Amino acid sequence: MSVTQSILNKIPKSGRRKIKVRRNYQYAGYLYILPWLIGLLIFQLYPFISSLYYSFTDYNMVSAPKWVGLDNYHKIFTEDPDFYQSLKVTGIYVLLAVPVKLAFALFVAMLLSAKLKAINFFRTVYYLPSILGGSVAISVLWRFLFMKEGVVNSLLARLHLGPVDWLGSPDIALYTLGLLTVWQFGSSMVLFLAGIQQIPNDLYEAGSIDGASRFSMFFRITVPMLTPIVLFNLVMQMVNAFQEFTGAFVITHGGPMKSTYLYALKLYEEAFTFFKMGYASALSWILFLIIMAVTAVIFKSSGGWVHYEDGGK
Amino acid sequence: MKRNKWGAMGLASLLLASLLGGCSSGKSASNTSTNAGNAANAEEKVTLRFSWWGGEDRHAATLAAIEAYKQVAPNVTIEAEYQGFDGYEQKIKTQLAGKTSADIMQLDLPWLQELTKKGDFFVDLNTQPEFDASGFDQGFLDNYGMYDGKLAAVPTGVNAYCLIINKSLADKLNVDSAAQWTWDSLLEAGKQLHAQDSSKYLLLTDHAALRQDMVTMLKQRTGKQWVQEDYTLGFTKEDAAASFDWLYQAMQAGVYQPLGESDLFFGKIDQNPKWINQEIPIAPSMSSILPSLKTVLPEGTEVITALPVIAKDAKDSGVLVRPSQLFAVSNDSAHKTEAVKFLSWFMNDPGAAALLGDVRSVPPVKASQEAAVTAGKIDAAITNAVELGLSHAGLVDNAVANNSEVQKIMDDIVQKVSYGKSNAEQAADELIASLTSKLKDLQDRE
Amino acid sequence: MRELQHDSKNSWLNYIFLIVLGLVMVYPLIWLFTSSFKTNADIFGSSRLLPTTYVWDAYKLGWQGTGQYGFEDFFINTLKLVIPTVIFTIVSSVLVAYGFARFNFPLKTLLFSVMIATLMLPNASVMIPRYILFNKLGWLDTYLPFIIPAAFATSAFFIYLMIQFIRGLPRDLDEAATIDGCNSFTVLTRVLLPLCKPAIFSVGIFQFMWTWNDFFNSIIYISSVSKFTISLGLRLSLDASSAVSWNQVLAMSVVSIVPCVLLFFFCQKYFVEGISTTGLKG
Repeated sequence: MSVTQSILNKIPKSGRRKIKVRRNYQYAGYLYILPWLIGLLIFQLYPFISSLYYSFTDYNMVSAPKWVGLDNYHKIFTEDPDFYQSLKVTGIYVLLAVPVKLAFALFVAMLLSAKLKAINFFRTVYYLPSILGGSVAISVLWRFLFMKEGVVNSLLARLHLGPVDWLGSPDIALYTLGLLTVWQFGSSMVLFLAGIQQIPNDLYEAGSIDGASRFSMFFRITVPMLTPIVLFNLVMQMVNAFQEFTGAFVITHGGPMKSTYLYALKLYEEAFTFFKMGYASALSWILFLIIMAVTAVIFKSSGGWVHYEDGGK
Repeated sequence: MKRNKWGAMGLASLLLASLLGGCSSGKSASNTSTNAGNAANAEEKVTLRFSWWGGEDRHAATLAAIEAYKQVAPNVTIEAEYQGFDGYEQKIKTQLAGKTSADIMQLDLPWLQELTKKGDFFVDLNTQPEFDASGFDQGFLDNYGMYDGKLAAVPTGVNAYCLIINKSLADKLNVDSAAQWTWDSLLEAGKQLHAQDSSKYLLLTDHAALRQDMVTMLKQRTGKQWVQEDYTLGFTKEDAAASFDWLYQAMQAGVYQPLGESDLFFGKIDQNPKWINQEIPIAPSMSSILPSLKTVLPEGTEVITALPVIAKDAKDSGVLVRPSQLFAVSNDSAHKTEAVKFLSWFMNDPGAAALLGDVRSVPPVKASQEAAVTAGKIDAAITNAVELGLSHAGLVDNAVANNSEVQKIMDDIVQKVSYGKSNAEQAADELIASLTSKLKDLQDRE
Repeated sequence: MRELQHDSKNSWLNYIFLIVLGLVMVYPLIWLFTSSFKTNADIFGSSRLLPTTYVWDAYKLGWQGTGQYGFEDFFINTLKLVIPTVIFTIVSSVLVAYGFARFNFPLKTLLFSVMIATLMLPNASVMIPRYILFNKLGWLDTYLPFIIPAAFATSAFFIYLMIQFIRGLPRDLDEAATIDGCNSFTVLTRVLLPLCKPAIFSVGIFQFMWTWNDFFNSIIYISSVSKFTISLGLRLSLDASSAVSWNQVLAMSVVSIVPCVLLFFFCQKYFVEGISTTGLKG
């Protein structure tokens, strides 16, 4: 209130007549969103559509694009085993890393939501890995930690375990990279934490009067109330996971034996090693369609499991 | 640390003789016709970008030479852009496509072969009066620098495939460092070494080195390039299966460190802890890698070179001798004349050669060789490797065999065999099928 | 009573678990720090956290780099890239968010949906034509591919975050200010902007960290070493340095994450507030 008052006091009193000008439409709005509109057209819509065009061409950036029709798509689906490999690897990566990360984030958020003393401290500690995220420094670190002679194996050796070939074994390397993603569960956790704190206390009180156990309250109250956040986290993390690049590029180069050859690596290699821009554009469109399809499925199904306080919208 | 002056001196003459003998000298296009238009004012400040890849010793020596150039041309500033091998290829190609490349760049032979087909990226050095190519062997230039009648690049050094041996370690492990290996004897020795001590392996590798082994084996069996210039295969399924079978056995027997461990150091094998901690005595590699492999070992470790593996009944020695890398000047350069001048100095000046030594293997220009030898900057082991290579040189690689997409197919299959996920028969079938389809695709795109 | 006891026992378990987990979470970072003082022998094959022999010069030597460009240059370069990007992002997303949050204009719902849709548009599907476009514009090997799109509010996430925040501010404020003679722009700058501080901080900090850590775009757009950012410089030292100086690589990794860590600690309040109160309603 006082803020408003002080602002009101500061405002010169002339020209009070200007109100009522915008009744229905306020075209000034266009002025404000204009930067975005231009950006949308130039940096998003145009590239988006022209990548569709490029996907029907053979283009190496040096000579002019040559129209080849569906050739690129045909080759991707029939003659490129790496496409299927990268799809498989990416699929496993998304299916494992995203749910594990979210489950972990929710679990820790629950623990933190109990009124603990050092909550801020813990929140900071858990969030720290997330802000360092996809930085090269962290990839460097991961490489050192999980090398055959690395510190993780040294620690395991103390427990008379291992050594595990974390990065060198085609059966394990992908999980080691997945671990890097899960380690960064902080941002999802913060969202869950905020969500938990917004759940009205009377719901729990009502629950405990009804004699519900903590366990059942978690599944009957907390989880349903958090489903909008789960949905948001799920979609965003999924979109990101499909495009994961830095870790696989810096730590394993897609190896060993293409076991970490994520789709983004394949895309990068076709575009910036072989300069097959048309082919790479086709790959990017396929990725786009896959992501859209998965998003659509998640949203479609969300009607069934996402609970909105105000009855949905 | 002894440097063998006389050996290297001998090399100089030998080098010329064998190169001249080996190559058909084509069009000698040393024309000094026109003055390159923009003869820069001597006082004008010029900044040139010079990019290369390498290890720390190459960086240090090249930077020292750049520093020395300040005395020669005070108005020219050279910005150095250097890095490791990994990712350099992408960078160079991205820059060339985006017209943001350095003025002078170090290239690998396969890329040069590929790029000169795609566009006119490089200055024809023969049209540049400022460039002195007279010290180079004409045959060497023709074979590796000339494309469509233009001198697009010059070799940085003469590089030979060899075995780089940590002799101190080999002696300790009872590995015969003087042996001429055959594939069979190598397999046997590697098996024994690993059986005695499971932390030891005979050979240092990464997947690119394994690919080289396979290609060499194919050449030795067939006497032909594995992929021919006319986009056909130079080998049969039997040849491929036999080669992969050897690799499979070698991996199973522990002749090589498991690829999962060694390939973390792809393109920088000198960083492999097993080599640094002296648990692997032999690195099959190009001679230009020797300085980096040597610097990571303790002072006083004796490092020698030997001829690479040659099969008993080889139809071609398969020994690869080629430019270490090549230097080219960008056609998009704003200061071509200055760039060419610098390159000419870098390659020909005795002072520069004395600073650079063997960081790009043996210099290709005779006077530079002598200057580097006199300065004691050429490791006798490198001289030895190049001499051996030249006297046993095998087939010259063609552009198709060097194509990055073709090589990638071999890389992939080599990995499958190395990890034991594919047996020799399957690998041979897959190699032939994938190559056939890729070669057709490449030919279509031509 | 029993209930309470149960709870306090539980909370002890909570604490222990949280502390153990916290240690696991930060152990890699602590290891990174202590290992920057280690010898190679200690880095490999030793499970000890602290060095047996301390090496003190890793930071100095690593910072110098091997040649003409050291981490000082990479740092300055990164700032040259990050600061304009952050500022432009803030300015543009505030403007656009204001437009969406407070004005009613034709096609608004449609445009808003388009914006939300771009939130999910994978970067991969626009990356190649953007690269070609920037190439044609002659922007490769400059920082413009980062800065200019930021000026045009290309990141829907930030707009969305701002919109949610502005919507949470009472409209009475605008109306009162309008009555007092503010035009729509001065309503924004004088009334709303001061109130938007938490959201602005969130946007700024997120964008700072993302741009600071960005690797993919840097590797595509920046090619000359003189313009390398920290990410690229770090990868350079990872690849190019011979194995003798691993501690230098680790030391520079530490240096590269310090700004983000500091920023996070100092602005934590805004950060968590921004993401948790504005990121998700609706």
